Amino acid sequence: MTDPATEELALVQATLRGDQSAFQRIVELYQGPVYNLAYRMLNNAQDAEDAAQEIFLRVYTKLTMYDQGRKFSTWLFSVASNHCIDRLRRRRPIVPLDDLAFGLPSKEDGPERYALRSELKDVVQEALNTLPDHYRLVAILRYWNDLSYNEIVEVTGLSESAVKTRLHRARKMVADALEAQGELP
Amino acid sequence: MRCQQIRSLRASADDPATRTLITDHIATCAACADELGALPLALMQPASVKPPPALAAKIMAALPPTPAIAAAQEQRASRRRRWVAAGWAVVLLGLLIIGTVGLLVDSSYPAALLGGVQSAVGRVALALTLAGKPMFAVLLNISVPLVLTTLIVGGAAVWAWRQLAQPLQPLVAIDGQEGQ
Repeated sequence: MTDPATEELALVQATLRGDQSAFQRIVELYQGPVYNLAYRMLNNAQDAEDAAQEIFLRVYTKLTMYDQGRKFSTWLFSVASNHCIDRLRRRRPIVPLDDLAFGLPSKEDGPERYALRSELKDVVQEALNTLPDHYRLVAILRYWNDLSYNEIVEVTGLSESAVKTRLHRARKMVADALEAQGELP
Repeated sequence: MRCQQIRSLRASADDPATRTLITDHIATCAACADELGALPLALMQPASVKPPPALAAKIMAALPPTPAIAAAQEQRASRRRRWVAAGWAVVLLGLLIIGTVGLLVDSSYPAALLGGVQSAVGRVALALTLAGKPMFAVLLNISVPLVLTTLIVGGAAVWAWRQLAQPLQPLVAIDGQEGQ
């Protein structure tokens, strides 16, 4: 079985040689994590889709500048994070909250349980929206994208202690927001 | 059970048996207690959203043939944007300068320097002077009140801050209870 890092590097090198099917494989591998990051950061399905397209286009365009000694996914998340933060800076201050229930999973759950879970996730997203952008980014990278502290350090350029502090505060803020909404005892 | 395995169980943390496993581990592991102990259950089972089915196709359809070509296209577009911005800056600055000259000397002065208002170049210069004069006036009318307002509001803010930053007077002791 091929090591994922080796496979990614081979795909990057093939893309650089002009093999678009290799980049298609990269898109297939990472469209889920990138779309999720954009969706949780931007809180809007349409914006997340546009952002994901622009992120992959930017990755493709800047691939010649990618340092092949670094882990590809970390570099990709770094491009994606910067793009989402830029978008949030450019965005008008009012955030549309109309499509929060978009595409929530859970195939096995019955209708009642599904409704409860969906409601909970909406509440989580709302709590997430109360965090400042840089705190939200760190929380999403950790809990949704499952990145390690070191990977978050590489993606964001923060120190490890800053990452830990932001995560700690983000958890506290989410817990406070959930408590304020009556979702936590 | 190892920390990594515990972390992978978060997705099904609403299952009672899994929760017991997580809770037992947290009780004996300082690192996980720090991270997972204070974590709301809602964050223990993060929901991922599925990307739209056509997303990959849309991305692929927008790609130039190779990354090198894409980078070159991006560089050309960026250079073009810079030139357009520089062009606009030069035009506006030129208008402002010629308008200022027209306002301070005479509207026909720039035209007179270029062969008089009868010549084609002179007529263009006159038109530009007349277009630039209001720009100077607008800038003057906006900038003076803007600077004055900034000074007044800034001064008031500094004054209010100094008032707030002054040390409070000690409270008067009630019934001789001071120091208790």
